Amino acid sequence: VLLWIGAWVAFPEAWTAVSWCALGLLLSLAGRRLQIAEIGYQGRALALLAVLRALAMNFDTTGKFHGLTLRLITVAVIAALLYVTSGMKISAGENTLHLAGHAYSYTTLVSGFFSWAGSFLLALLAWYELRPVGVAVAWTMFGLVLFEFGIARRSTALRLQAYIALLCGFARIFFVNLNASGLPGEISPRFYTVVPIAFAFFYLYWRLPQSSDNLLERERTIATSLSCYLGTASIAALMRFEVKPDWVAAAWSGLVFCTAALAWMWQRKVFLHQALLMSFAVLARVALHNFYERSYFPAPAWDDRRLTAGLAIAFLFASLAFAFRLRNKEDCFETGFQRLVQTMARRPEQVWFFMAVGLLTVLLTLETRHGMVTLAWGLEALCVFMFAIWVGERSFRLTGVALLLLCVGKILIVDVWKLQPRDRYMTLIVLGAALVFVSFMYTRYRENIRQYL
Amino acid sequence: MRHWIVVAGILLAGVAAIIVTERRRVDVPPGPAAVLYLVADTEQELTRMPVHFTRMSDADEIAVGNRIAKYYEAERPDKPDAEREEVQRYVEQVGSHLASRAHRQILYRFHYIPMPSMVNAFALPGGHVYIGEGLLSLMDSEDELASVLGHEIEHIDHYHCAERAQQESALRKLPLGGLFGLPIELFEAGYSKNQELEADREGVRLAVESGYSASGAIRMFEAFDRFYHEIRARAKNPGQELAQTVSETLDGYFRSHPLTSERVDQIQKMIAEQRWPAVAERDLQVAYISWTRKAESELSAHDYEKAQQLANHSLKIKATNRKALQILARAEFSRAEFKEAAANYRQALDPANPDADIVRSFALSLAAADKHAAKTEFQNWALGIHGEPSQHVTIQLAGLSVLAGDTAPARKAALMARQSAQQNTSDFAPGWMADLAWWYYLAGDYPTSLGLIDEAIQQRPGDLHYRTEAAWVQIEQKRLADAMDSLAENTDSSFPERTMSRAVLHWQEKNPDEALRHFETAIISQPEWQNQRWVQGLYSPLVADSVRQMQAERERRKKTNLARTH
Repeated sequence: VLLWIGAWVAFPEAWTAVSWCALGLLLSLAGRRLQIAEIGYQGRALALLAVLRALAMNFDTTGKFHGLTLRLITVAVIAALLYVTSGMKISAGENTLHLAGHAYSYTTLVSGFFSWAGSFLLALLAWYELRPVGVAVAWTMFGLVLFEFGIARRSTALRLQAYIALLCGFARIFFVNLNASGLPGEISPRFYTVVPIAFAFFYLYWRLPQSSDNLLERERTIATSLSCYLGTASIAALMRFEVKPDWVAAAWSGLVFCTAALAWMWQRKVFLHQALLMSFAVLARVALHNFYERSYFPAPAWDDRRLTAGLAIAFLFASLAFAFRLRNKEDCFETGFQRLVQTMARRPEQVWFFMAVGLLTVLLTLETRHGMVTLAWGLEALCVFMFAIWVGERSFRLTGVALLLLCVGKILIVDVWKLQPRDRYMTLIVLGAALVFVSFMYTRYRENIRQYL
Repeated sequence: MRHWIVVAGILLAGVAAIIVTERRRVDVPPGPAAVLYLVADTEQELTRMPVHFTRMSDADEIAVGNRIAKYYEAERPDKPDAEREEVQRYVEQVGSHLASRAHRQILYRFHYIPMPSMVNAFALPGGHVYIGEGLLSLMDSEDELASVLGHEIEHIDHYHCAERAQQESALRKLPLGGLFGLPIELFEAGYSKNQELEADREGVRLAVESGYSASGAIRMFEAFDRFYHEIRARAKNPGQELAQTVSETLDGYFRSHPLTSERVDQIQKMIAEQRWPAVAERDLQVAYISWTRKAESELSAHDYEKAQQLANHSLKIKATNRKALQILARAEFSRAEFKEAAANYRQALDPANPDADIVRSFALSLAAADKHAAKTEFQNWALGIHGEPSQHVTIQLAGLSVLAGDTAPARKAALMARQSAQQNTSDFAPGWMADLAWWYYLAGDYPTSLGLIDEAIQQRPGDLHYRTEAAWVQIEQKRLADAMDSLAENTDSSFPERTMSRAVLHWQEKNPDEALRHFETAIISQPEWQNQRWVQGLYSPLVADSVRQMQAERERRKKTNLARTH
């Protein structure tokens, strides 16, 4: 007690907590060397008081010491001392604490407490020392360091701290970093602060399976896929805010293409699932945003809907290249929603093809003049049919035929009666040519086509 | 080994990002804006399609808008006011010019809300556009006003208001008839980020097509951002930040205006893409009103220099603005620039109906600037008055004659005031007596002055101004006990002249501690007392000497205390 009071008097204000923590560490060391448990307990008690004192006093200290704030110096020293204290085992016998069906030894709990306290102080220090936009990056980088130490030292507590720091970093980007748009003409802080965070999550995804021997079973299953999803979510969120509203769908569609490529390259289903998920976001965005946002003034060529929505559709078509390689014809055994999800994961080409064709059909409807819609649909049907024959996919061929029938129906019900003469002639000529071509193909390859249909 | 290289690379990128944010001083206030954008935009996108296919007719929309506007206007009855009418006409003129180029040719109506706290503009379904005084006071060009009105017109033009009304009707399960009761806050709060950006784009196009500069929109956003940063304080700890964020999330579900930087970025890109020519911005013709208000507020805060600057700014836009001239004159008077004050008071006076207080201040300024020439100057001005000069003018002219050594007009005026008081023909009679008494005080004829002021006190015994005036005269006559009696009532600091007369009284009684206590109180409420020229110009030499001595004693004590502390 005298030592504690002496340190309080000798080291005023911000340095008190540092002196207590150092004293606590010395006492813990002495207790271990002399094998007197009481001294060790006193050392821990002093360290605990140091933590409380630091929380109450040090974070409000704004004085400077050689250009650095006293807060930074003192809290960093305290955190370092706490990590050292946490590494020293305490002889607490075989006593254990039972929590939620698990038994924890007091030695582990005490050691864990000080590492948690150290990490908490450092995370808090980042909040106080950095600008709001840098805090998420600092937390994520700190999480990454803690994770590596957790793996190296086989410490579950450190890894848990790492996961929490990473999750906090991820959550914070939605409240700070995504708001940081920056000045026109320069790379926005949103971009250069979110990208390292996304990379940190992808690194975690890559690193976790490599060290699976050191991980808990639940940690291996949850952390691995979660980190991959959070990485992709960070990128998708960044695109949502960084890219111009009309281009978001195209950017997301590009992400579908990339994740599909990764799924094929590394044969990882998690990327395929993400690609499928993102493709639904693309579908919704194109259908509900790009098709509805219309200016009364002519749009600049670069923001034209034909370009923005067209590119999104093109990426979906391009993703089919990987989809055919990723499809899996095994039967699924689940029921209900899970069966639907499994089916989509087994046949991703169906999902992307129908999305792309559906969006293209609507785009043609919106972007062509009344009379030319049928013509555009006819050409689309022809292309789909040819593509279907090339890839040998029955559902695609039926789609082509259905589109052609749609054209015929529209001509008979609408166009013949409503179109201007020039458009009417054009439409009938092209439709006639398409029907002749399909009939010719059918006559020539009757057997094959029958087999296909 | 490979993983160490990768982790080092990521850490390096992270540290570099932090360094750049620190170096560039990237200050982003934490808040739920991003999450709110996502939620609001998604909701808007999901509802847009059904709303598009079930859109209410223009006639229904106009009927709903008219009813909401009617309720809104009934809630805030406005007094007719010339300034308000002028701003209203101006807003209508600019708005109608823009609306003629809108896509939907419905009847657009523009309303000015004369509320300084209303830093907002909003639109209602059917064509009603409102703009608050607070927002208008942030502008200094017509182009800025055009960008705001254009933005609101586009909310109507693009059916954002109608869609909001329809969404609310669906959520609240209201029939079309029930939409009339929708709260105005729904429309004041703003729209989703996409809708706001759309209104920005289209609004600026509308403004540019109407001949305005696109940079007006950029300057408007920047002014609004400065205002936002002024009113929003940074959190002091993570707990406060969390509380702020939660509160903003709950408050601002609909208040999801895009970030200023994004809006500015969008407009700048449009300027570059469309190659809009640089057009000089036009002055906001009604900006003089807000400059005058700001000057008035600085005058109340005793920042006379700032008040002068703001009033001059206002006068640059409208040189004949009497209110600004009056504020300028008052600020100059407070800074003892009596000659300039007299010139501006002269301009501020309406020759058809000169205001009594301004006439008095004008006469005092003239007297303080040049005692001998004051009467002639005042007479010259009085010749320009339309019709017969009022009694107020006669009294001040008589007072200035007293200063010039001619007491006949003052005696005549006093007689006239007495008759008025006896016959009860004017409420101003005691005031005229008091004014004449003050002129006699300034001329050094204290017995006549006290006689007149006593008459005024008899007529209005409760008036503290008259009692204070009597105290000044009694101090001159060394009747300190009587002066103490005159100053017995109202001992609070709300009447600085009275507090200063107490200080001078105690100083004359050789009671410096008490005198300095009152002196300190008086100069806080009326800093003019620290200006020797001001005191010399408006009070007797005895008062001027006492104030100077008290000031010196105060400084001496301050220095002594400072030396003791060290």
